[in-house]
Amino acid sequence: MTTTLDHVLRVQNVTKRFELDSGSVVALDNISLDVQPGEFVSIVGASGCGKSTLLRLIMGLESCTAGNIELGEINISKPSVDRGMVFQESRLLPWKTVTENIAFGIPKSHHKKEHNAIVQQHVELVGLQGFEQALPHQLSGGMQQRVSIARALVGRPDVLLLDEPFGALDALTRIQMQQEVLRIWQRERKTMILVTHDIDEAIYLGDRVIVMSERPGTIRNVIQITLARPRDRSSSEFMSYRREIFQEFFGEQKKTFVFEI
Amino acid sequence: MVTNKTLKIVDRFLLPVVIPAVLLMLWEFLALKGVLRSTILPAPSIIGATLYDMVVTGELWGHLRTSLWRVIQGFTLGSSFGLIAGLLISMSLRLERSLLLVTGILRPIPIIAWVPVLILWMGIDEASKVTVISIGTFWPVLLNVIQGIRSTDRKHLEVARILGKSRSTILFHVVLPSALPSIFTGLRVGIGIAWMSVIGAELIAASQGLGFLIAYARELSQADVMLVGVACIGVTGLLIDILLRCIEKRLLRWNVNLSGNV
Repeated sequence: MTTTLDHVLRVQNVTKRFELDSGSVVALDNISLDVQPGEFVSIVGASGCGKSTLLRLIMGLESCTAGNIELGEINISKPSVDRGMVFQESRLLPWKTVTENIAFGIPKSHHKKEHNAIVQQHVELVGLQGFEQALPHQLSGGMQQRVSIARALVGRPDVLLLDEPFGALDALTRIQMQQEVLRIWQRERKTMILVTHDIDEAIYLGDRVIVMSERPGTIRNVIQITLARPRDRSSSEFMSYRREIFQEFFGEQKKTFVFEI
Repeated sequence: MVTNKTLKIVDRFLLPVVIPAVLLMLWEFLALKGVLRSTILPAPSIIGATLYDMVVTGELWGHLRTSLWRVIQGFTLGSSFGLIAGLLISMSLRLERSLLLVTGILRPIPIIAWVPVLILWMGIDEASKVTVISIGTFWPVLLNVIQGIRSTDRKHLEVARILGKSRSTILFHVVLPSALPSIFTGLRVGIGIAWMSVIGAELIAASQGLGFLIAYARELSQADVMLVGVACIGVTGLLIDILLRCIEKRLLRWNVNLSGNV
C-alpha cells in the first residue's frame, strides 16, 4: 500500500475551453486550488458553472486548455488508479453482480488471491452484506450508489472525486448517503472532492466549501467550515454558513432559484 | 385466488391452441364434405396417418436429420464468420467505410440466387448447401454484432478508462456483454434464415432432406407427404427458436428488457 500523506493535489491556473460549432466556450477560467491529503473539499455552483468539468480534468478524462494539475509530483494527463470517481448515475455494469462490479475496480497488479477478501471488505464498508450476488437492477438507487462508491475505493485511490453522487436520490436517502460518505471518509482518510448543487450537503461534508460562479467558471469564494463533525444541520452556526453561501449567489445577479435549497 | 390462477393457465397454455384447433376442425369438416379435393389438400386426419407412417418407418427422421446437420454446419460457419467480421468492422470505421460498397451489393442478394452459382463452383453435394446456409446466417449476425458493439454505453466505457482497464478487459467485460442481447437477436434471425435456406437449397438439388422430400412428393403427386414435410419444417423452426430463447434467457439474466415471453 502506498502512503497517501504527501500527495497534495495542485490545480494551477487551469483554463478549459470547449470548441463548439457555434464558437468556443470558456468553461473554466484560471482556476487555482490546492487540496491537502485527507481533506474533504466541497464545490458548489449553479448548473453549468463548470464544476463537473473541473472534476473531469482532475480525473484526466479531459485535458486542460491552459494550466496544469498535479497530484504529488506527477502531472495529470490521463486517468489513473490513484484517482477514483463516482458519478451521479451509478454506472454499474448491469451484467455483473455486486461483488463482480466491485471487483472490476481492482487494478490488475493485485494478487488474485486477495481479491475476495478485499471485495468482501468493501461490501462491508458500504454496508451491503447480504446483497453480494444481487444484480444492479435488483437494487435501489441508494444501494447502487453504494456499490459505485465501493468500486471506486477498492483500487485504493489517493483521491476520490464525487460528481453530484446523490443528485438523483430522494431527500431521505440523500441524507443517509451523506452520513455514509462521512463515515467512510473518517475511516479511510482519503482526499475527497465533492461537486454538488446542494449547499447543505456541501457544508455538512466539507472542510472547505468552494463557491463557483458561472460562465466562465471561476472560484468566487472559499469558505472554511470549522464545525466539529458530525454536524448538526439545524444549529445556528450551520445556518450562518448557509446564509453566507446563499449570499454569494444572490450577490451575483437576481437569479434566485438556480440552485436547490 | 383459484379463479385467478386457472385464468392464468388458460391464458398461457390454452389460448394459443384454440385458434389452430378450430382451424383444423374446420379443415377436417370441409374435407369430409368434399369441398376440398384430397389430391390438392388432404384432410388433417390423412396427413396425420401419413405422418405416423413416416415416423414409424424412420423415413421422416432420415430427412430431418440430413437437413438439421446441414443447418448446424452452415449456421456454425456463418455465425462464426459474422461474429469475427462484426468485431473487426465495428472496431474500425475505416474498415467499415472501405467495405461499404461490397456489403451493400452482396447483402440484398436473395439466398436462393446463390444456389445455382454455388453448385457450379462447388458441385452438387454438401459443400454448396452448407455454404448457402452460412451466407444466409452471416448477414444478420454481422449486422447485429456491429450494431450491438457500436451501441455500448459510453458511460460504461468511461468507467473502464477511469479504472485503467486494458483493451482486452474492456472488450470482454464491457463491450461484448453489452452487445450480447443484440448478438442474440442476430443469431435468432440467422438460424431462422439458415433453416429457410436449407429447404431452398434442397428443393433445387438434393437427394435427401426435407426440401427434397417435398420436391419429390410433388413429382409423385403425394399431397399428404408434401404437407407432412411442410408441417415438419414449421414445427422444427419453432422448436429451434424456443431452444435459442431459453439459452438467451439463461445467459442474459441481467437484461431487464427481456420479459418472460417465450
